[in-house]
Amino acid sequence: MPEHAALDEIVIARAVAAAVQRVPGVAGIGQGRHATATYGPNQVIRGVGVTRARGPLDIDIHLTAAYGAAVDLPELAERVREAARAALDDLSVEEVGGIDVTVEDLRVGGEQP
Amino acid sequence: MNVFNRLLALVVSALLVIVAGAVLLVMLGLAEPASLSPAPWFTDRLEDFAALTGSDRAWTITVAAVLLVVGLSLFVLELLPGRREPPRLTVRQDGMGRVTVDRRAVQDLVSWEAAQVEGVREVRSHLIEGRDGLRVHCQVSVDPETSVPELTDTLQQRVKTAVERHLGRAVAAVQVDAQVAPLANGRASRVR
Repeated sequence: MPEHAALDEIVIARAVAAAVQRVPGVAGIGQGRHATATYGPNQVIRGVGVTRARGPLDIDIHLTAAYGAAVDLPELAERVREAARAALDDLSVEEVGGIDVTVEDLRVGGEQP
Repeated sequence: MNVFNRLLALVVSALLVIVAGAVLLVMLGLAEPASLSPAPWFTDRLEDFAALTGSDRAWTITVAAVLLVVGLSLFVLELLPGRREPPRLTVRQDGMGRVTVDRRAVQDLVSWEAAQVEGVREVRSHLIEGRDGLRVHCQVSVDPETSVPELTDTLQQRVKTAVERHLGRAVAAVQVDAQVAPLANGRASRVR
C-alpha cells in the first residue's frame, strides 16, 4: 500500500475517533472484545477501521456505550454516524461507502452491566 | 460443545476410523496387517482379526463397517461449523451502513437487568433471534424465601422493557428458569 494512502487513512481514522468520542452516550472506543483499528506509520487508532476495499471508504466504528435508563442504542449509533460523517466532511472526504457502527460493550457508571 | 470436548470427539472419531478401517482392510484381504501397523502390538491384533472365519468373520466385518461409518460421521460433524448464533445483532441497516450490537453485550444487559430484581442471586442469559423477535432465556438462581412466580413476572417484564427500549428490537419471549441452587459452572453473573 502506498505510504500516502496509509497516511490518509490514519488521518481519517483519528478525526473520526475524536468526533465519536465527543458524542454523548459514548463511553469509549476500541475497548471492546474485538480488535478493530487503523494502522499508520508508528501509530494505531483503535476502535475505528478505515478501509478502501470496495473503492470508496468504508468506516467501521466499534464503541462502548454508556448504559442508562435513557440510552437508545440505534439512536446513539445514528448520532455516532452523523458525527463521523461531519468529521469526514471536514476532511473533504466525499467517497464514503458505509459507516458501520458496532456497540461492543455497555458500561454502567464505571462498570459493565 | 466446548473446544476441549470438540477436540476429544475429533481424536476419538479419528481413532475409530483408523482402527475400524484397518480391521476392514485386513479382513477383506485388501491389505496385510504388517503394512498397516505402526507397532508390533497392533500387527498382532490385526492378525487375530485376519484369522477369524465363518460367522465370527461376518460379524466382525459388519461391526467394523458400522464403526467406520459412525467414526466418519462423527468426524465430519465435528468439523462442520454447525449452527452458531451470529456474534452480533443487527439493530439497523440502511444506505449509510449497518448498526450492530455485540451479542455478549446484550446478554450482559439482560443479566444486569435481571440482577436488579429482588431475590435474584445469579443470572445466566442467552439470546436467540427468532422470526417474531428476540427470544431471551434467563437462568437464575434465587433466594429460597422469594416468591418465584412474582420474581419471574417482574424479571420478564423488566428484561423485555429494557431490551426493547435500548435495542429497539422486539422481544418475542423471555423465558425464565429459576432455581434455588447455585448455577452450574459457566458464564453466570453473581449479583448477591
